Amino acid sequence: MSELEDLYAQFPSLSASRHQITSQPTDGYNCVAWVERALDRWYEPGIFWPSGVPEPDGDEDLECYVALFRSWGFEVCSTPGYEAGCLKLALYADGRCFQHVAKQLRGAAAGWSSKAGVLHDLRHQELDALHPSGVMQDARPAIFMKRPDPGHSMGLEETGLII
Amino acid sequence: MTVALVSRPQDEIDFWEDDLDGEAAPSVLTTPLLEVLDARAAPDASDSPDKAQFDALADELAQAALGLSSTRRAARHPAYGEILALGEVAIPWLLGRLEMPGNRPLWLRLLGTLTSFQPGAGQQTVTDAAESWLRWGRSRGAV
Repeated sequence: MSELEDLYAQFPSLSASRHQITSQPTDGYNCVAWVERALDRWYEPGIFWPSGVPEPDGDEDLECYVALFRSWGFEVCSTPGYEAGCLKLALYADGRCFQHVAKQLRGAAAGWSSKAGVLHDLRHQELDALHPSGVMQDARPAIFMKRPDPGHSMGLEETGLII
Repeated sequence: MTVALVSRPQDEIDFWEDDLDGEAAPSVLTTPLLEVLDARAAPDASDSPDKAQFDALADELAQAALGLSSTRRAARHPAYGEILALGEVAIPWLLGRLEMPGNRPLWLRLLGTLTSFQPGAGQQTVTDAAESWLRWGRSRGAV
């Protein structure tokens, strides 16, 4: 199976949704690192986790990720709708277990950017494009967060190119 | 090559910690360390039924975990627990998986669960953590 076939097998809703692959696969960073374009980090308790951010006692770790994103300037908000001047995140979870985070692109119709596990970066129009997924069949967008948009180019997220 | 578990006196533990060149290491080792035995003394573990079982489980788990952004969630897959059930005999095989990019965070998590000895602790990147584990493994003939 090719890596692209792997991607569509992991996210069966993706192929029916408007999307664009924007990178080659890599296990060097995950979706959490992608929020800050930290392309050499895999943010996860037990792998790499900043000091000062709480670590989970057990399986439920969603609040720890919320705390991490708070440390990056995000605050919880109520909806995923685009707000000019804001950068939003959508945290996917199964109950209180974190699964994924997607970051919103600039513009009301621009959609979202995600790093899919150890596979590709992709741009997807709908949050539901990554639900269900692999062994996390019940993970859905559960928490939304936002911070002021720093205003830098999002070419890497939109097309995979540095512009 | 085969592996066996042995208890270590404190002076040997100090030796192995020194071998990390200042990298983070636990102050107390709570599990025995692996000792690689001479291949002439025992059958080659790479041909063992356990190795074949490990390879099948690792391939299955790696495929299932491709879309996971959190390797903690891989523990929901039955193959994860079955690899852990193989015990420390799986450590050299997991180290072998670390040599190729693809699913290194998953192998790092399994290694970190199988032993409290953590050569990759404190490393910032997946590549650096994998290299720390591999240096540890090579220094002991386990890779």
